[in-house]
Amino acid sequence: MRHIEMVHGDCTPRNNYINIQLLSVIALSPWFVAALDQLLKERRDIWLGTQRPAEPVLSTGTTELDQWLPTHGWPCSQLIELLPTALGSGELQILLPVLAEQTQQAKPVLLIAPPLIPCPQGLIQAGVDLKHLIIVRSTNNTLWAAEKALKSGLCGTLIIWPNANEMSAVAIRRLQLAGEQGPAPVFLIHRYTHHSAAGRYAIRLKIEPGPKITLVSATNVEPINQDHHSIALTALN
Amino acid sequence: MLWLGLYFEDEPVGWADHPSHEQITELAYDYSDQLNWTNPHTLVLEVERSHRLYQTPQQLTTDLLTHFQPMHLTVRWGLAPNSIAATLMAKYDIQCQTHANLVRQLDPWPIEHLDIDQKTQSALINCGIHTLGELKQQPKSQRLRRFGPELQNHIECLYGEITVPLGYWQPRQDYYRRIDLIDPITHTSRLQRHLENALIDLERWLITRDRALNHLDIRCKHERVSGQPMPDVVIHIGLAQPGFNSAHLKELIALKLEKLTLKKPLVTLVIQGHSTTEHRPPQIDLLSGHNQGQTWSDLLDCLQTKLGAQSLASLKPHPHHQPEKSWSWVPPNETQSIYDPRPRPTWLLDEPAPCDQRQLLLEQGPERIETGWWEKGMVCRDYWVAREPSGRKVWVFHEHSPRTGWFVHGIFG
Repeated sequence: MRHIEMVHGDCTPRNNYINIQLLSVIALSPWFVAALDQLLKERRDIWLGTQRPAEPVLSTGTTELDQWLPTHGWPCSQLIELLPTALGSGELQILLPVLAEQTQQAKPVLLIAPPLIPCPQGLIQAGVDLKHLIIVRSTNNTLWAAEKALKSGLCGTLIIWPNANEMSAVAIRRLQLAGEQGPAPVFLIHRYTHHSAAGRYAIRLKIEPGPKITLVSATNVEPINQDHHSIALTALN
Repeated sequence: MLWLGLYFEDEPVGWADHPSHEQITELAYDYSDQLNWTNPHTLVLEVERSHRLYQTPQQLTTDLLTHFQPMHLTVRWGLAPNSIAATLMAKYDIQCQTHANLVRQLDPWPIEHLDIDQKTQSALINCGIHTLGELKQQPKSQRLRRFGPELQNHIECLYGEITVPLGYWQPRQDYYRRIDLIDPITHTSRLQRHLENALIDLERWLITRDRALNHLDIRCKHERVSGQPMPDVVIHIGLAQPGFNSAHLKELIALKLEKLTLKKPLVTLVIQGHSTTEHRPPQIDLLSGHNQGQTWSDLLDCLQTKLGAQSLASLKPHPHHQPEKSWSWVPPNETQSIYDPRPRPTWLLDEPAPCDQRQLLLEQGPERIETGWWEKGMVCRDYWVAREPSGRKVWVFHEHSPRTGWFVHGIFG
């Protein structure tokens, strides 16, 4: 440590040659490597090439789910796929806290082509401000509408129930690129099938009534412990 | 009063590139509010009141005529202290600003050059009257008896002895243009070009009146041929926020035309713009950082144009105890908030679906919902929160009247 301070404190051009020689000698010592590691660990503002920078996440509103998710929240500007085994397995319920938070912050939330009618009284009970909730009722051009809304950068969260015919790897990729321009996560909800279109989703979750949530896959995260592969959200039951 | 007469060599018929009477009047309306057409070729406008702005009527005229140059119109102009004389002076390109000047011009005026019918002209010439001055010298009673009151009135109007009120022209409250095309449109790209040109005109119209566009209706008529008449092609473009943004409107038109295929050639375009004087400034909130402003309404317009007017909606709860009547679809941002503490699901089914009660585990309830006998479609139901064998929570009811049985109405999920 003493040596490092000296190097930092005395780096006039005149002393550069001596400093470089000194550094090469010090760098070889195991003591130096340990000291440097220690320093880098202490300093939170230094980014290390080996770590992945923490991506911004949005709290799910449920502590249980936040802790369980490998990303510790819904990753912002990313695609998240929810795969309910049956319609109304709890897919909207787990998103209600996000909807409430976003709408209360006056960020417009778009529900694109929902399969049923979202009940306004139920949404208000969950804290959703209906003024900022827009529903796209058309079942055609759902991905076009989503892309347009995301590219505008004006919307908060988007929840899309895509038309099965529109789901292709290219469409998903386009949506993912558009999603990167938005500030919030984008949720794609469709029925759980083993042959759903491939795409680069941040998280894919299978949702069974209960709701019981199972992690299907997640990118950019460490492998999840098999014991914690699924979670039953009793709080929402 | 001083009147400016504008004589158009070719009658403005409003065909293809030719402007219509209305378009010309609207242009001239920027210079005077008192104006009208005295005959299909001549527009007269009172210019004395614009004296302070333009110093001389000549300057005003030069300025006004620059608008007609790109329209390839041949215009002659005249000045006179009254509108009837101005009509005549315009035809012969003569300017007389004072009454004395006018009398000097009119006295030697040949009868053949007067705006009167051929029969009266020949009657006058046969009597040896060749100029207006000679006619004026005739005793008034004799003139009236020999040539009728019509000529008498005309002469007196010309000399400004009697004043004829000019019909008051008022501009339309809403933008309206009818374009009759010589060359029928067969492809949407040409239609788009025509509409984009119309937008330039519309923008000028709105700026002059300090108005903002609400929605635009475009009606395209087909060529009339024998057989079944083809229905008009109607394009409706609504704006979420009144305003005018040329680039945005062009985008909306392109979105509309992209779905359109022309089966028959189009010959007439009727463009109607509904505008308002309301100005809603963009909602800019510097503190919260949510600056939606114009772009948010532009996004809504864009989605509505492509997906259909009814496709974008908000949910509005109503304080009605019958669940079917307790909500409705409304245009975006026209909703309200009503808090109902009773258990309500997250999803509602379009129509309650029959279900088997034996499969369900009733968890919470009943909640009796009964409508009054005075209401149409009286119902009597008991609502329950129930669980399906799969674990899914549903909102079911047991109906007593008018039907009997169990139905699913919503899902908690």
